[in-house]
Amino acid sequence: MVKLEANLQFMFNEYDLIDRYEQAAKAGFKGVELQAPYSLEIDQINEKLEKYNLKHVIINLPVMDPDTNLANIALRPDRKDLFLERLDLGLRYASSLGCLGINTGIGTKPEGFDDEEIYQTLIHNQKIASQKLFEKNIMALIEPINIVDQPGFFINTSTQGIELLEKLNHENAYLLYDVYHMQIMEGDLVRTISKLINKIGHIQIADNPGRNEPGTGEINYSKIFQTLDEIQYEGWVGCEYKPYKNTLDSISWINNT
Amino acid sequence: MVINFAANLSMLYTEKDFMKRFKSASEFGFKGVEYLFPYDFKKEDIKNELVNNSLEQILFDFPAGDFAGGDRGIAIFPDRKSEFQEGVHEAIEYADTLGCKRLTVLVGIDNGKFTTKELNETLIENLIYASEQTKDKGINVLVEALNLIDAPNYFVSTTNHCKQIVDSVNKDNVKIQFDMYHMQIMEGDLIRTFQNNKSQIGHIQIADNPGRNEPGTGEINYKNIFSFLSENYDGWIGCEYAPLNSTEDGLDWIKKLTE
Repeated sequence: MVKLEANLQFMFNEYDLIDRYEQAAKAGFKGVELQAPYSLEIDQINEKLEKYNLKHVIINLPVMDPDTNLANIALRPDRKDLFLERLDLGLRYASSLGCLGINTGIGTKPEGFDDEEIYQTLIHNQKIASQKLFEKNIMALIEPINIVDQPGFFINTSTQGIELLEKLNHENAYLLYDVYHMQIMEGDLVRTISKLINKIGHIQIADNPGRNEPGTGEINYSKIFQTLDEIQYEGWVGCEYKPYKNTLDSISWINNT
Repeated sequence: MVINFAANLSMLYTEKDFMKRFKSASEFGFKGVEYLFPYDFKKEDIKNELVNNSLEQILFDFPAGDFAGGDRGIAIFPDRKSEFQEGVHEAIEYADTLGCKRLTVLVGIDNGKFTTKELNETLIENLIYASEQTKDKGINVLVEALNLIDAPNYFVSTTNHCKQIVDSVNKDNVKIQFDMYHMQIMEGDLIRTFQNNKSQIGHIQIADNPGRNEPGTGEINYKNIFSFLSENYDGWIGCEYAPLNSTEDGLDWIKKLTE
């Protein structure tokens, strides 16, 4: 059986951020993920994790550029120092919370630099991230994101993701395969997941179009979960979708798949 | 919901001889049929099967070269233009007799002998020819993109390329054939892509992926696709899949997925 966890940025946002841990646990989830835990204190989160017996599966690095408000400092040749600072912050949260992985963040292509320079910057930053996370036994996760929702996103297909992993050549760097993003960009989900399973460190899901819960769109999630069982995927699957109505109604799909 | 499904007789009922498949399709309840090619049979004999079984001939393909020998169409080849044109006339003769209003062009496998520009230009020229020969008969000429896993080096493998070709031809009766199986392999994003190209899509075909078997066997949520199409598409949907077991046993997907 696939291990589903709740994305607290997308789900339970009927509640304050800190109260979503409790709500996820009450709804039956054993794990959670949260892109940006940084507005909360580590101790505050740990208290919730302990009280509700939750695994904090992943977080994202805070890669927002304070000047442009674009989450792409991993791509900026002039922001390498800031990336290191943010990496330390992310690492402090992830290791204190017992996370399995950090989505190290890529972002939309910054203006004023050529592609090769941007790519080399990304490789440079991700190599450092992979090694630093390796020392704490936390996976470094690369997530390709669709360019319909985020035009200009620098790495947007699983092929590009794998290419980047090959360039990084680090045993601690993995692909974060988001089924929603990949259905928009390339399709052929079952074959691609099966082929890349050894390089996939984490999976996220939502249906398409709409990014709502599984069952609302064109993806047959019963088949996807059956495939994950068959190929013995041992990681977690993050429910990173926008509940069509409210969150509790939105999780009835879990029993229907 | 109301959906017009056509049985593809090149892939369904292959337990039986081709000429016996019409009756089987009709007995199940199909009102329309499509298949790759009628050319090995007398058009009058096919016509009889259609009439006797109250079936509409929805679509077939223009002659596509030596199919058994590996050809998947000849429309891109500068050195086979006259063969393509002869094929257009043969197809029209059959279409006239069978009352068929949709003819599909398989474009061909890029054999590396010509430049991409030459292949595109030849394809466009051939499509304009096919369009002119068929327009007074109310026939739509359809261009189909295939996936590159099943048909390596097939020249048109994405909706975008297909649309570019159709745009360049710029004739009202030349349209896109949108095969959801091929496009799920090549690009995903099925519903949005259909929406974006709706006015230029003249026919749809379906199968699930991976495996090209019945809807419901793979990663595509056809229940939701049909529900969407029932409100956004009034054409035919060709069931071009390989039955997992027997054709008859596999057909319960229609009831399950269109309730």
